[in-house]
Amino acid sequence: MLLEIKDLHAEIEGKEILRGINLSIGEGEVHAIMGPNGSGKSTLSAVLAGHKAYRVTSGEVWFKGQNLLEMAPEERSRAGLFLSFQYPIEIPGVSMVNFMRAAVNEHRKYKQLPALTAGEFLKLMREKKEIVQLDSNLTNRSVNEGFSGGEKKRNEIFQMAMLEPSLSILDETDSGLDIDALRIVSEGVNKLKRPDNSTIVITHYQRLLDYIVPDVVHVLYKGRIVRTAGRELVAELEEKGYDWIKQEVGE
Amino acid sequence: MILDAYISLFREHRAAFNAGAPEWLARAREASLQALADSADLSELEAYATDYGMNPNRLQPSEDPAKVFSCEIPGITTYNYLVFNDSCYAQPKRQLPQGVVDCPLSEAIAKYPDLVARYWGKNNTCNANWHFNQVFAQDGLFVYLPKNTQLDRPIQLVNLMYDNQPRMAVSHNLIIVEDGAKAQVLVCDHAYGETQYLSNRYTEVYVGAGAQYEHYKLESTNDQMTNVSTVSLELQAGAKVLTNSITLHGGRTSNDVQVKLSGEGAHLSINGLALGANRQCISNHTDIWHKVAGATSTELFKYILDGESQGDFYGLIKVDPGADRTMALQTNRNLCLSADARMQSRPQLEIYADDVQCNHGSATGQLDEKALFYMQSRGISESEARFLLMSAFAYEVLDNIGIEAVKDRLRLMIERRLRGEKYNCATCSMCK
Amino acid sequence: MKKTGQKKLLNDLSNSEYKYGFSTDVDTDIFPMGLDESVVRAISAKKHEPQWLLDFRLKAYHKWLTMEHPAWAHLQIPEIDFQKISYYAAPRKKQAGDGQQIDPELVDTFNKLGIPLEEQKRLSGMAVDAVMDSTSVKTTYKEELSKLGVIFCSIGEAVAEYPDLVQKYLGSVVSYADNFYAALNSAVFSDGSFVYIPKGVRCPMELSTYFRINAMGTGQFERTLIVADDDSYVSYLEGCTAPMRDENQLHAAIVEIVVLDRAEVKYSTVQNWYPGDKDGKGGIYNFVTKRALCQGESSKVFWTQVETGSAITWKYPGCVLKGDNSVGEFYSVAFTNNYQQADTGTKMIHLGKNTRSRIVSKGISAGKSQNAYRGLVKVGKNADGARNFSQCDSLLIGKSCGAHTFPVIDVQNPTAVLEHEASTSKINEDQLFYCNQRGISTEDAVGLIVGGFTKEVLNKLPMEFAVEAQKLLQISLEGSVG
Repeated sequence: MLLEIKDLHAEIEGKEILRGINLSIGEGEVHAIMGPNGSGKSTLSAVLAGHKAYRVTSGEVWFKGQNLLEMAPEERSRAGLFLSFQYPIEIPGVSMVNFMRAAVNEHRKYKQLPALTAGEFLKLMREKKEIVQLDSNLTNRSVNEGFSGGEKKRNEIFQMAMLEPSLSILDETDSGLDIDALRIVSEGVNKLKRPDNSTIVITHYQRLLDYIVPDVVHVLYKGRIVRTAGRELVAELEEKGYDWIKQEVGE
Repeated sequence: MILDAYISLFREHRAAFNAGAPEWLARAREASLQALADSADLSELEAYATDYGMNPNRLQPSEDPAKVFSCEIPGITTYNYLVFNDSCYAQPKRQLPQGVVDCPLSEAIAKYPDLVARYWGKNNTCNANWHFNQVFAQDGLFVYLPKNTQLDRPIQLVNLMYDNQPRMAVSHNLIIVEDGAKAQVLVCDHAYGETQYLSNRYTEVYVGAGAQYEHYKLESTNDQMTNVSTVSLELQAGAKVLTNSITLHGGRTSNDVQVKLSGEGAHLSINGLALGANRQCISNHTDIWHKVAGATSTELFKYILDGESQGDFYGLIKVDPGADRTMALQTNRNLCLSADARMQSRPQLEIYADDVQCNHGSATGQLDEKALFYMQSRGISESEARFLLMSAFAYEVLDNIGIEAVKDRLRLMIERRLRGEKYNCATCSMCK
Repeated sequence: MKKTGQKKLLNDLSNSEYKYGFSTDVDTDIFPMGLDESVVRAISAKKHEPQWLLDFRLKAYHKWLTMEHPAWAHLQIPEIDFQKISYYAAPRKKQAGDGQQIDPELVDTFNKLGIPLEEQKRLSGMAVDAVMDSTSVKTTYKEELSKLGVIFCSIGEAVAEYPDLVQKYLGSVVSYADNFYAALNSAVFSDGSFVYIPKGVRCPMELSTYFRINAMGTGQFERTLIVADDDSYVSYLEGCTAPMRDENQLHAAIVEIVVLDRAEVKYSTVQNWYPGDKDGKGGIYNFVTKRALCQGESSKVFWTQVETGSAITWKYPGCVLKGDNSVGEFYSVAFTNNYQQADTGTKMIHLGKNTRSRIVSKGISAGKSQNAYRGLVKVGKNADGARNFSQCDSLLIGKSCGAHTFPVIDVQNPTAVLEHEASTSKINEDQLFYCNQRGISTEDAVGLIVGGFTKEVLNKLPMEFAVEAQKLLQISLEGSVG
């Protein structure tokens, strides 16, 4: 197993959001996590990445055999966990090049590889930029500063390409994207697919899953996974909405 | 020097000044007297450097001034108090909620000595204005709202200067709003007559946990008036306070608002508008002290200066160590209309905690030429366009006033003032 | 500072403690401690000064005696015993510039600092005046510059060789009575640089003075005077270091800049005096008066400073914008850590018509330090059309430091437009988390974010200096996150 979550409970400011999540993801699998607003989807991704505003109250998370919850956010990243943020933050004055170079070299150090020279690094950037058709000018600017919504999301996938994670969590990557941008972003994700890496796609809607086809679909509701099925569940949810799930779990 | 003359005046009339004062107050006065005598920083006392008369024996006019002078605002009724020079006149007694007290301070000192002693000077500013006030103040307004009480209408306090010779008046207000109580106080400063006046008015306000308090101060006096006013406020947890100081006309105005945010979740909104003309000097000095975590403050002061007027804004935001999650926003905007007007702005941040968001912005300039042109291109005359822009600039300060009738009245007065018309309060017998 | 110098600097900077903490064992000619009229006379005699300069010093000394130590800054300054300082120290074997032999120890010292003085190794594109304690050790590129009529030499030399120029401008921008430390400096100033750029000359290389305090128990009181004649241009750099010592040493300098019609002067400082140790012991007291007078029409001055050193910093490089259409700009990064204190900012005095000024100040406080911006923007009655924009941002790292902003804006002209914005906050947690998520450690992330925060200012420095300043900031940050 690449990722194993056992009975995970987490809260923010004393309010319990995750109320016993169980989830296993194997190598090469694509999982979709769907659910109505406020069900805890983004909390789950933040907890996995190690955001300190969230407190894990009980449960375990194992990532490649390591206890993920004991690792600092940067250690999780270096171990191969990547979060594509729903709202990527702007960092004024810090150029994309410097930012990415620091990140890539940290990852290489972790793998006991030598740091890239400036030339090698720029070459790598050029190659990866094409995957998401990222405008060359964007990488000369400060991190996410003045980027449009679509540019920010493409920039996230570009970073994913640069860091080559084993597990990518795409948190509402489709929000704020028009149809062309959605296609470019999902094609980028698909190009990066390898037999040994896995993806969690967190989304509210079907449309992203038309492009990134999941092996397994989970429905998250009120902090628990209430239903797990194959990709056919996506169509069912699209057709019937979430109300029937709510009824099923006795609301 | 002049201050010495006032110190000797007190010494000569000590018995008269201390008549009715409890032991602790008499002692506090001696301490303040000493502090004044020792004061090294005389700049604060500059305002006293003219020879004004005082009224140590508190001789009263033969007629009740409250019957002669009234200041009414259409659309609301208030509980009305008049501080005529240095003495407070209350309206006849009426039914108030259980335990609520409002009366002249001199009466409160006699009737509720413990209550007055418990709060008096607890949060004083320790500066020359405080000491001068403590030595000489004989009267003022006392308001006490016990827990969870509220009044059905605002309290209106009119400070009126009236004499036929240079006159100084010193008064002290003590306002206690206990936990969960609510009050609104509207202070109107007026001056009547041709002579020189100086007033030193000091207001202490204690706002308990979860209590709400609004304090409006409107000055519409005359060129001969020097008005030194201090409001010191202390807020407990969850208290909400709004202050607004509006200076429409005066000679020399010094408004000092000192606020301690002493309880978590306390919120302060502090505002001011100054319209300067002639040789008027208007100074607003605010001191906001975030002593605990999680309190917030927003501040907005605006000046429009014409003629040879001078504006001074000093705003300090101080954040103590450990006062995390403080949010403080301070804005000062000024318009200089004439070649001889002068504006000085000193927005100050003093911050000793790291988890804070504090911002200040200050801008001084003129009306937006592009906006003027745009309006003119739509057929509006330049003078009307200027007036519209100036009033829009000024009205922003009124936005959060909680009493609609007061807001309407102020808008009208500001409009007339900006048009250069007479801007008295219509029903007010003082500014006619 | 291309190639050799740059490489050397980077090497020197690569380890985390204060880099320039060594002292040089040279034979020093040092005055006994104490200050009285005879000391002032002795300094003047030592330098074979003309009578007018001695008179200037004595006038300043007597004024100083009547002045009080300034107390208005947001600083805790331990009482300074002015009788426990030596007012003159010079490396004894020093032979003034120009091809003559310099003490190899001194050459070695400046080599360690990344400032080679030998002709064959000198930095390309940059002329250097190296000042150790009270005297100038060596000025490079002098002949090349003199062909253009540019005068670049120590102020002592200038007094001897260009007395008229010095007498005309010395004290014309910062009067000897300006403030306590200006009076002290005017009485006892030792060496420093003098620059004169003739009419119409664009100085082809950066001019640079490198200040070094070496001797124990001494103060450094250098004096810099720059005169840019009509239509001229010069970029001037100043760097400073001192050995690590437990005692506090006083540095009270004056920089005066006179800018005539349409001339332009860029003055950049990377101040890295020894800041004291982790417990606040030792370090330099840096009490400096710097001012530029934009006397000519359309003249321009740009101040850029990166302040990372000194136990206490007290300086307000200012511009008097007297000429019509003159421009003053001020860019500052002040970083304080441990027990450092800084009270720094600028004064922009608008006197001429259509004068413009711009202020960008970035303060970073860490450890137990206190960091204050203090500024004055004043628009005089006749300064029609004056414009100012000020932006002052403070970043707090840690719970025990302080960040303060004390601007004064004084407007006496209705056509002026002034804007001041300030913000104070800590490093944004979401930015840190974003960096962490990409595998960057918190310490490196803070470095990146601080780099971004200060970029607007560092970009104003000449390239070589910007690299050095960036490194200095990163080094200063080390240990501040935790």
